[in-house]
Amino acid sequence: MMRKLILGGFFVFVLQIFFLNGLDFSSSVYIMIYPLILFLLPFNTKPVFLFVWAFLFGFLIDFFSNSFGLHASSLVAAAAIRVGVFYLLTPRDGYDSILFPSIKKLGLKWILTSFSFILFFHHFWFFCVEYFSFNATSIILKNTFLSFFFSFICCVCFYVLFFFKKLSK
Amino acid sequence: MNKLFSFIKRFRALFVFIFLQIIALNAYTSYLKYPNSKVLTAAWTFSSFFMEIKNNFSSYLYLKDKNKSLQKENIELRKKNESSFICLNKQTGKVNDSIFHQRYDFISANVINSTTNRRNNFFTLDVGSLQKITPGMGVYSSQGIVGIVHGVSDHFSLIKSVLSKEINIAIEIEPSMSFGFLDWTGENAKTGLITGVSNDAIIKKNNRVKTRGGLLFPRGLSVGTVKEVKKIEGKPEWEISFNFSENYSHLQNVYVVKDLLGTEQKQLETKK
Repeated sequence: MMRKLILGGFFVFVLQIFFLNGLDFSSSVYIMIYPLILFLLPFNTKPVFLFVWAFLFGFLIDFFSNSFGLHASSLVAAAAIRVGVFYLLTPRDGYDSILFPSIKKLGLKWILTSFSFILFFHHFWFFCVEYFSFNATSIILKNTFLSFFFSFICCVCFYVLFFFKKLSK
Repeated sequence: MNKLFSFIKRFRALFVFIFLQIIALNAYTSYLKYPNSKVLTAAWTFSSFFMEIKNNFSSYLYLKDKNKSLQKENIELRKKNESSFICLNKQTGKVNDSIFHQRYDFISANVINSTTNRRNNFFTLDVGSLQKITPGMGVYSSQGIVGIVHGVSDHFSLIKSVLSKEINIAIEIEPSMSFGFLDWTGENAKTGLITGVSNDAIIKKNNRVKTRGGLLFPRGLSVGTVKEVKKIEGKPEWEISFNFSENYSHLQNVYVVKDLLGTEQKQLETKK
Protein backbone atom coordinates (compact mmCIF):
# COMPACT_ATOMS: atom_id res chain seq x y z
CA MET A 1 0.00 0.00 0.00
CA MET A 2 2.83 2.38 0.86
CA ARG A 3 4.35 1.90 -2.60
CA LYS A 4 0.99 2.54 -4.19
CA LEU A 5 0.60 5.70 -2.11
CA ILE A 6 3.96 7.10 -3.19
CA LEU A 7 3.18 6.32 -6.83
CA GLY A 8 -0.28 7.84 -6.43
CA GLY A 9 1.24 10.94 -4.86
CA PHE A 10 3.52 11.35 -7.83
CA PHE A 11 0.62 10.98 -10.27
CA VAL A 12 -1.50 13.48 -8.33
CA PHE A 13 1.42 15.91 -8.40
CA VAL A 14 1.94 15.59 -12.18
CA LEU A 15 -1.80 15.82 -12.85
CA GLN A 16 -2.12 18.93 -10.66
CA ILE A 17 0.87 20.74 -12.15
CA PHE A 18 0.53 19.99 -15.82
CA PHE A 19 -3.18 19.57 -16.26
CA LEU A 20 -5.42 20.93 -13.51
CA ASN A 21 -3.43 24.16 -12.99
CA GLY A 22 -3.88 25.07 -16.65
CA LEU A 23 -7.54 24.08 -16.77
CA ASP A 24 -9.82 27.07 -16.56
CA PHE A 25 -13.34 26.66 -17.80
CA SER A 26 -14.63 29.14 -15.22
CA SER A 27 -12.86 31.82 -13.24
CA SER A 28 -14.22 30.54 -9.93
CA VAL A 29 -13.28 26.89 -10.35
CA TYR A 30 -9.79 25.79 -9.35
CA ILE A 31 -9.54 22.04 -9.02
CA MET A 32 -7.14 20.77 -6.35
CA ILE A 33 -6.91 17.02 -5.83
CA TYR A 34 -3.73 16.71 -3.79
CA PRO A 35 -5.50 16.73 -0.36
CA LEU A 36 -6.54 13.16 -1.32
CA ILE A 37 -2.99 11.95 -0.64
CA LEU A 38 -2.99 13.67 2.74
CA PHE A 39 -6.24 11.91 3.57
CA LEU A 40 -4.91 8.49 2.59
CA LEU A 41 -1.77 8.59 4.76
CA PRO A 42 -1.63 5.91 7.49
CA PHE A 43 -3.69 6.50 10.64
CA ASN A 44 -0.72 6.13 12.95
CA THR A 45 1.21 9.05 11.39
CA LYS A 46 2.34 11.45 14.12
CA PRO A 47 0.79 14.96 13.82
CA VAL A 48 4.21 16.65 13.71
CA PHE A 49 5.34 14.42 10.86
CA LEU A 50 1.99 14.99 9.13
CA PHE A 51 2.41 18.79 9.28
CA VAL A 52 5.97 18.69 7.99
CA TRP A 53 4.99 16.34 5.18
CA ALA A 54 2.02 18.57 4.26
CA PHE A 55 4.26 21.62 4.23
CA LEU A 56 6.84 20.01 1.96
CA PHE A 57 4.30 18.56 -0.45
CA GLY A 58 2.39 21.85 -0.57
CA PHE A 59 5.57 23.76 -1.24
CA LEU A 60 6.46 21.39 -4.07
CA ILE A 61 3.15 22.24 -5.72
CA ASP A 62 3.65 25.95 -5.03
CA PHE A 63 7.00 25.68 -6.74
CA PHE A 64 5.29 24.98 -10.05
CA SER A 65 2.28 27.25 -9.75
CA ASN A 66 3.72 30.70 -8.99
CA SER A 67 2.19 30.93 -5.52
CA PHE A 68 4.92 30.39 -2.97
CA GLY A 69 3.42 29.29 0.33
CA LEU A 70 -0.26 29.35 -0.58
CA HIS A 71 -0.70 25.62 -1.21
CA ALA A 72 1.70 24.80 1.63
CA SER A 73 -0.28 26.88 4.10
CA SER A 74 -3.62 25.37 3.13
CA LEU A 75 -2.30 21.81 3.13
CA VAL A 76 -0.84 22.26 6.62
CA ALA A 77 -4.21 23.64 7.75
CA ALA A 78 -5.93 20.65 6.16
CA ALA A 79 -3.52 18.34 8.00
CA ALA A 80 -4.51 19.95 11.29
CA ILE A 81 -8.18 19.45 10.46
CA ARG A 82 -7.45 15.84 9.52
CA VAL A 83 -6.10 15.21 13.02
CA GLY A 84 -9.26 16.75 14.51
CA VAL A 85 -11.72 15.01 12.21
CA PHE A 86 -10.14 11.58 12.72
CA TYR A 87 -10.21 12.13 16.48
CA LEU A 88 -13.90 13.07 16.43
CA LEU A 89 -14.92 10.23 14.12
CA THR A 90 -12.97 7.49 15.91
CA PRO A 91 -14.75 4.14 15.42
CA ARG A 92 -15.81 2.17 18.49
CA ASP A 93 -12.73 -0.04 18.53
CA GLY A 94 -10.26 2.71 17.69
CA TYR A 95 -7.84 2.62 14.79
CA ASP A 96 -5.65 -0.14 16.23
CA SER A 97 -6.38 -2.80 13.65
CA ILE A 98 -6.74 -0.37 10.71
CA LEU A 99 -3.70 1.09 9.02
CA PHE A 100 -5.16 2.98 6.05
CA PRO A 101 -8.58 4.59 5.51
CA SER A 102 -10.29 1.67 3.78
CA ILE A 103 -13.91 1.42 2.70
CA LYS A 104 -14.24 -2.18 3.79
CA LYS A 105 -13.35 -1.52 7.40
CA LEU A 106 -14.79 1.95 7.96
CA GLY A 107 -17.66 2.13 5.50
CA LEU A 108 -18.33 4.40 2.54
CA LYS A 109 -20.19 6.97 4.64
CA TRP A 110 -17.27 7.42 7.03
CA ILE A 111 -14.80 7.88 4.19
CA LEU A 112 -16.95 10.39 2.30
CA THR A 113 -17.85 12.54 5.34
CA SER A 114 -14.34 12.77 6.73
CA PHE A 115 -12.79 13.41 3.35
CA SER A 116 -15.31 16.10 2.37
CA PHE A 117 -14.69 17.88 5.70
CA ILE A 118 -10.95 17.98 5.06
CA LEU A 119 -11.27 18.97 1.40
CA PHE A 120 -13.80 21.69 2.14
CA PHE A 121 -11.69 23.21 4.89
CA HIS A 122 -8.63 23.07 2.65
CA HIS A 123 -10.44 24.97 -0.12
CA PHE A 124 -11.92 27.50 2.31
CA TRP A 125 -8.53 28.26 3.85
CA PHE A 126 -6.95 28.48 0.40
CA PHE A 127 -9.39 31.10 -0.94
CA CYS A 128 -9.46 33.04 2.36
CA VAL A 129 -5.68 33.47 2.24
CA GLU A 130 -5.72 34.23 -1.48
CA TYR A 131 -8.35 36.99 -1.31
CA PHE A 132 -7.86 38.06 2.33
CA SER A 133 -10.53 40.74 2.42
CA PHE A 134 -14.01 41.07 3.93
CA ASN A 135 -15.23 42.71 0.72
CA ALA A 136 -14.54 39.49 -1.13
CA THR A 137 -16.66 37.27 1.17
CA SER A 138 -19.12 36.41 -1.59
CA ILE A 139 -16.33 35.55 -4.04
CA ILE A 140 -14.56 33.42 -1.42
CA LEU A 141 -17.73 31.45 -0.67
CA LYS A 142 -18.63 31.05 -4.35
CA ASN A 143 -15.13 29.90 -5.26
CA THR A 144 -14.95 27.56 -2.28
CA PHE A 145 -18.25 25.81 -3.00
CA LEU A 146 -17.79 25.51 -6.78
CA SER A 147 -14.15 24.41 -6.57
CA PHE A 148 -14.95 22.00 -3.75
CA PHE A 149 -17.70 20.40 -5.83
CA PHE A 150 -15.45 19.77 -8.84
CA SER A 151 -12.41 18.80 -6.76
CA PHE A 152 -14.51 16.28 -4.87
CA ILE A 153 -15.70 14.64 -8.09
CA CYS A 154 -12.14 14.51 -9.44
CA CYS A 155 -10.82 13.06 -6.17
CA VAL A 156 -13.48 10.33 -6.16
CA CYS A 157 -12.62 9.47 -9.78
CA PHE A 158 -8.92 9.33 -8.99
CA TYR A 159 -9.57 7.24 -5.88
CA VAL A 160 -11.71 4.74 -7.77
CA LEU A 161 -9.18 4.43 -10.59
CA PHE A 162 -6.10 4.21 -8.43
CA PHE A 163 -6.75 3.06 -4.88
CA PHE A 164 -10.10 1.31 -4.93
CA LYS A 165 -8.79 -2.23 -5.47
CA LYS A 166 -6.19 -1.96 -2.71
CA LEU A 167 -8.40 -0.30 -0.13
CA SER A 168 -11.61 -2.26 -0.60
CA LYS A 169 -9.92 -5.51 0.42
CA MET B 1 13.36 24.75 32.72
CA ASN B 2 12.05 21.20 32.84
CA LYS B 3 8.53 22.52 33.00
CA LEU B 4 9.15 24.62 29.91
CA PHE B 5 10.46 21.63 28.00
CA SER B 6 7.55 19.47 29.03
CA PHE B 7 5.18 22.28 28.02
CA ILE B 8 6.81 22.52 24.58
CA LYS B 9 6.81 18.74 24.25
CA ARG B 10 3.14 18.52 25.12
CA PHE B 11 2.05 21.14 22.59
CA ARG B 12 4.74 20.40 19.99
CA ALA B 13 2.19 19.73 17.24
CA LEU B 14 0.63 23.15 17.77
CA PHE B 15 4.01 24.87 17.73
CA VAL B 16 5.05 23.07 14.54
CA PHE B 17 1.72 24.03 12.98
CA ILE B 18 2.11 27.73 13.84
CA PHE B 19 5.76 27.73 12.77
CA LEU B 20 5.00 26.20 9.36
CA GLN B 21 2.05 28.54 8.79
CA ILE B 22 4.24 31.55 9.51
CA ILE B 23 6.88 30.39 7.01
CA ALA B 24 4.30 29.62 4.33
CA LEU B 25 2.26 32.81 4.68
CA ASN B 26 5.40 34.93 4.92
CA ALA B 27 6.76 33.37 1.72
CA TYR B 28 3.45 33.96 -0.04
CA THR B 29 3.12 37.64 0.87
CA SER B 30 6.77 38.47 0.24
CA TYR B 31 6.60 36.76 -3.14
CA LEU B 32 3.78 39.07 -4.22
CA LYS B 33 5.74 42.15 -3.18
CA TYR B 34 9.39 41.37 -3.81
CA PRO B 35 9.62 38.68 -6.47
CA ASN B 36 13.32 39.12 -7.07
CA SER B 37 14.60 37.42 -3.94
CA LYS B 38 17.23 34.90 -4.98
CA VAL B 39 15.58 31.72 -3.70
CA LEU B 40 12.22 32.42 -5.32
CA THR B 41 13.72 33.46 -8.64
CA ALA B 42 15.77 30.28 -8.74
CA ALA B 43 12.65 28.29 -7.97
CA TRP B 44 10.46 29.68 -10.71
CA THR B 45 13.32 29.63 -13.22
CA PHE B 46 13.55 25.92 -12.56
CA SER B 47 9.81 25.42 -12.92
CA SER B 48 9.59 27.54 -16.10
CA PHE B 49 11.95 25.07 -17.71
CA PHE B 50 9.28 22.37 -17.34
CA MET B 51 6.52 24.75 -18.36
CA GLU B 52 8.34 25.48 -21.61
CA ILE B 53 8.42 21.78 -22.43
CA LYS B 54 4.69 21.55 -21.71
CA ASN B 55 4.05 24.65 -23.81
CA ASN B 56 5.90 23.14 -26.76
CA PHE B 57 3.10 20.61 -26.97
CA SER B 58 0.10 22.71 -26.09
CA SER B 59 0.95 25.70 -28.30
CA TYR B 60 0.06 23.69 -31.41
CA LEU B 61 -3.57 23.65 -30.35
CA TYR B 62 -3.94 27.39 -30.87
CA LEU B 63 -1.92 27.80 -34.06
CA LYS B 64 -4.98 28.63 -36.15
CA ASP B 65 -6.24 31.41 -33.85
CA LYS B 66 -2.73 32.72 -33.49
CA ASN B 67 -2.30 33.01 -37.24
CA LYS B 68 -5.59 34.81 -37.62
CA SER B 69 -4.78 37.43 -35.01
CA LEU B 70 -1.32 37.97 -36.46
CA GLN B 71 -2.78 38.40 -39.92
CA LYS B 72 -5.25 40.95 -38.61
CA GLU B 73 -2.47 42.87 -36.97
CA ASN B 74 -0.39 42.74 -40.15
CA ILE B 75 -3.23 44.32 -42.10
CA GLU B 76 -3.52 47.11 -39.54
CA LEU B 77 0.20 47.76 -39.77
CA ARG B 78 0.26 47.59 -43.55
CA LYS B 79 -2.39 50.28 -43.64
CA LYS B 80 -0.02 52.56 -41.81
CA ASN B 81 2.92 51.70 -44.04
CA GLU B 82 4.32 54.31 -46.35
CA SER B 83 3.54 52.31 -49.47
CA SER B 84 -0.19 52.40 -48.78
CA PHE B 85 -0.26 56.19 -48.94
CA ILE B 86 -0.11 58.20 -52.11
CA CYS B 87 1.65 61.47 -52.41
CA LEU B 88 -0.84 64.26 -53.15
CA ASN B 89 1.72 66.93 -53.63
CA LYS B 90 4.46 65.58 -55.88
CA GLN B 91 6.60 68.57 -55.37
CA THR B 92 7.47 67.91 -51.74
CA GLY B 93 9.67 64.88 -51.52
CA LYS B 94 10.21 62.64 -48.54
CA VAL B 95 12.27 64.27 -45.86
CA ASN B 96 14.18 62.26 -43.33
CA ASP B 97 13.05 64.47 -40.50
CA SER B 98 14.41 64.89 -37.03
CA ILE B 99 11.15 66.00 -35.44
CA PHE B 100 10.28 62.47 -34.43
CA HIS B 101 12.40 60.63 -31.94
CA GLN B 102 11.83 56.98 -31.20
CA ARG B 103 10.54 56.45 -27.68
CA TYR B 104 9.39 52.81 -27.52
CA ASP B 105 11.03 49.61 -28.68
CA PHE B 106 9.27 46.23 -28.74
CA ILE B 107 10.45 42.70 -28.06
CA SER B 108 8.24 39.81 -29.15
CA ALA B 109 7.73 36.88 -26.78
CA ASN B 110 5.62 33.75 -26.23
CA VAL B 111 3.54 33.02 -23.15
CA ILE B 112 4.62 29.61 -21.86
CA ASN B 113 2.57 29.41 -18.68
CA SER B 114 -0.50 31.29 -17.51
CA THR B 115 -3.48 31.15 -15.18
CA THR B 116 -6.66 33.22 -15.16
CA ASN B 117 -8.64 31.79 -12.27
CA ARG B 118 -6.55 32.97 -9.31
CA ARG B 119 -6.59 36.19 -7.32
CA ASN B 120 -3.19 37.28 -8.66
CA ASN B 121 -2.45 35.80 -12.04
CA PHE B 122 1.09 35.49 -13.34
CA PHE B 123 2.22 34.70 -16.88
CA THR B 124 5.65 33.32 -17.75
CA LEU B 125 7.35 34.51 -20.95
CA ASP B 126 10.21 32.84 -22.81
CA VAL B 127 12.41 35.95 -22.86
CA GLY B 128 14.64 37.13 -20.02
CA SER B 129 17.47 39.38 -19.00
CA LEU B 130 19.59 38.12 -21.92
CA GLN B 131 17.06 39.83 -24.20
CA LYS B 132 17.39 42.99 -22.06
CA ILE B 133 14.12 42.55 -20.18
CA THR B 134 14.02 44.34 -16.82
CA PRO B 135 11.30 44.43 -14.12
CA GLY B 136 8.77 47.21 -14.61
CA MET B 137 8.40 46.97 -18.39
CA GLY B 138 4.92 46.84 -19.90
CA VAL B 139 3.60 43.86 -21.85
CA TYR B 140 0.80 43.92 -24.43
CA SER B 141 -0.65 41.71 -27.13
CA SER B 142 -2.23 42.63 -30.45
CA GLN B 143 -5.68 42.74 -28.80
CA GLY B 144 -4.92 44.58 -25.57
CA ILE B 145 -2.57 45.15 -22.67
CA VAL B 146 -1.36 42.16 -20.66
CA GLY B 147 0.62 43.28 -17.62
CA ILE B 148 3.90 44.41 -16.12
CA VAL B 149 7.18 42.49 -15.86
CA HIS B 150 7.49 41.37 -12.24
CA GLY B 151 10.68 39.33 -12.19
CA VAL B 152 13.36 38.20 -14.65
CA SER B 153 15.92 35.42 -14.90
CA ASP B 154 18.35 34.76 -17.72
CA HIS B 155 15.89 33.08 -20.07
CA PHE B 156 12.46 33.72 -18.60
CA SER B 157 10.42 36.55 -17.21
CA LEU B 158 7.40 36.59 -14.94
CA ILE B 159 4.54 38.95 -15.75
CA LYS B 160 2.11 40.29 -13.17
CA SER B 161 -0.97 40.36 -15.38
CA VAL B 162 -3.80 42.89 -15.39
CA LEU B 163 -5.78 40.13 -13.65
CA SER B 164 -4.15 41.05 -10.32
CA LYS B 165 -4.88 43.04 -7.23
CA GLU B 166 -3.94 46.73 -7.46
CA ILE B 167 -2.12 46.57 -10.78
CA ASN B 168 -2.78 50.34 -11.21
CA ILE B 169 -2.03 50.93 -14.88
CA ALA B 170 -2.96 54.45 -16.01
CA ILE B 171 -5.76 54.41 -18.60
CA GLU B 172 -8.06 56.91 -20.27
CA ILE B 173 -11.62 56.61 -21.51
CA GLU B 174 -12.63 57.93 -24.93
CA PRO B 175 -14.21 60.29 -25.91
CA SER B 176 -14.24 62.26 -22.64
CA MET B 177 -10.51 61.52 -22.16
CA SER B 178 -10.90 61.11 -18.41
CA PHE B 179 -8.06 59.38 -16.59
CA GLY B 180 -8.28 56.46 -14.22
CA PHE B 181 -6.50 53.40 -12.92
CA LEU B 182 -7.01 49.78 -13.76
CA ASP B 183 -7.93 47.25 -11.08
CA TRP B 184 -9.42 43.75 -10.92
CA THR B 185 -11.92 42.33 -8.43
CA GLY B 186 -10.94 38.71 -8.98
CA GLU B 187 -14.45 37.70 -9.97
CA ASN B 188 -14.24 37.20 -13.70
CA ALA B 189 -11.36 37.06 -16.19
CA LYS B 190 -13.40 38.94 -18.78
CA THR B 191 -14.21 42.13 -16.84
CA GLY B 192 -11.99 44.63 -15.05
CA LEU B 193 -12.53 47.67 -12.90
CA ILE B 194 -11.52 51.32 -13.33
CA THR B 195 -11.01 53.48 -10.24
CA GLY B 196 -10.23 57.14 -9.77
CA VAL B 197 -12.44 58.60 -12.51
CA SER B 198 -14.15 61.73 -11.17
CA ASN B 199 -17.92 61.70 -11.55
CA ASP B 200 -18.20 64.91 -13.55
CA ALA B 201 -16.98 63.07 -16.65
CA ILE B 202 -19.64 61.76 -19.02
CA ILE B 203 -19.04 58.08 -19.58
CA LYS B 204 -21.36 55.79 -21.50
CA LYS B 205 -21.58 52.10 -22.22
CA ASN B 206 -19.26 50.82 -24.99
CA ASN B 207 -16.89 53.78 -24.68
CA ARG B 208 -13.38 52.63 -25.54
CA VAL B 209 -10.78 52.27 -22.79
CA LYS B 210 -7.17 52.90 -23.84
CA THR B 211 -3.78 53.30 -22.22
CA ARG B 212 -2.85 56.78 -21.10
CA GLY B 213 0.77 56.47 -22.17
CA GLY B 214 3.89 57.31 -20.26
CA LEU B 215 6.32 55.00 -18.55
CA LEU B 216 4.83 51.59 -19.25
CA PHE B 217 2.89 51.69 -22.50
CA PRO B 218 2.64 53.94 -25.55
CA ARG B 219 -0.53 56.00 -25.64
CA GLY B 220 -3.67 54.56 -27.20
CA LEU B 221 -3.22 50.80 -26.84
CA SER B 222 -6.57 49.08 -26.59
CA VAL B 223 -7.66 47.88 -23.12
CA GLY B 224 -11.38 47.23 -23.47
CA THR B 225 -14.86 48.73 -23.64
CA VAL B 226 -16.99 50.16 -20.81
CA LYS B 227 -19.63 47.75 -19.55
CA GLU B 228 -21.27 49.49 -16.61
CA VAL B 229 -20.97 52.81 -14.76
CA LYS B 230 -21.95 53.00 -11.08
CA LYS B 231 -21.96 55.71 -8.43
CA ILE B 232 -19.86 55.25 -5.30
CA GLU B 233 -21.64 56.30 -2.14
CA GLY B 234 -19.93 59.31 -0.53
CA LYS B 235 -17.12 59.70 -3.07
CA PRO B 236 -16.99 61.98 -6.12
CA GLU B 237 -15.95 59.06 -8.33
CA TRP B 238 -17.43 56.57 -10.76
CA GLU B 239 -16.98 52.86 -10.34
CA ILE B 240 -16.62 51.60 -13.90
CA SER B 241 -16.52 47.98 -14.94
CA PHE B 242 -15.34 47.15 -18.43
CA ASN B 243 -14.80 44.18 -20.74
CA PHE B 244 -11.22 43.32 -21.58
CA SER B 245 -10.53 43.30 -25.31
CA GLU B 246 -8.09 40.40 -24.92
CA ASN B 247 -9.08 36.86 -24.04
CA TYR B 248 -6.39 36.04 -21.47
CA SER B 249 -7.04 32.32 -21.33
CA HIS B 250 -5.69 31.74 -24.86
CA LEU B 251 -2.86 34.24 -24.84
CA GLN B 252 0.12 33.18 -26.96
CA ASN B 253 2.10 36.01 -28.60
CA VAL B 254 2.89 39.18 -26.69
CA TYR B 255 5.20 42.17 -27.01
CA VAL B 256 7.32 43.61 -24.24
CA VAL B 257 7.54 47.42 -24.36
CA LYS B 258 10.94 48.93 -23.80
CA ASP B 259 10.68 52.61 -22.91
CA LEU B 260 13.86 54.26 -24.25
CA LEU B 261 13.16 57.54 -22.45
CA GLY B 262 11.77 55.95 -19.30
CA THR B 263 14.77 56.58 -17.07
CA GLU B 264 14.87 60.22 -18.15
CA GLN B 265 11.22 60.71 -17.20
CA LYS B 266 11.64 58.91 -13.89
CA GLN B 267 14.70 60.95 -12.97
CA LEU B 268 12.88 64.20 -13.65
CA GLU B 269 9.80 63.13 -11.73
CA THR B 270 11.72 62.05 -8.64
CA LYS B 271 13.83 65.20 -8.58
CA LYS B 272 11.06 67.73 -7.86
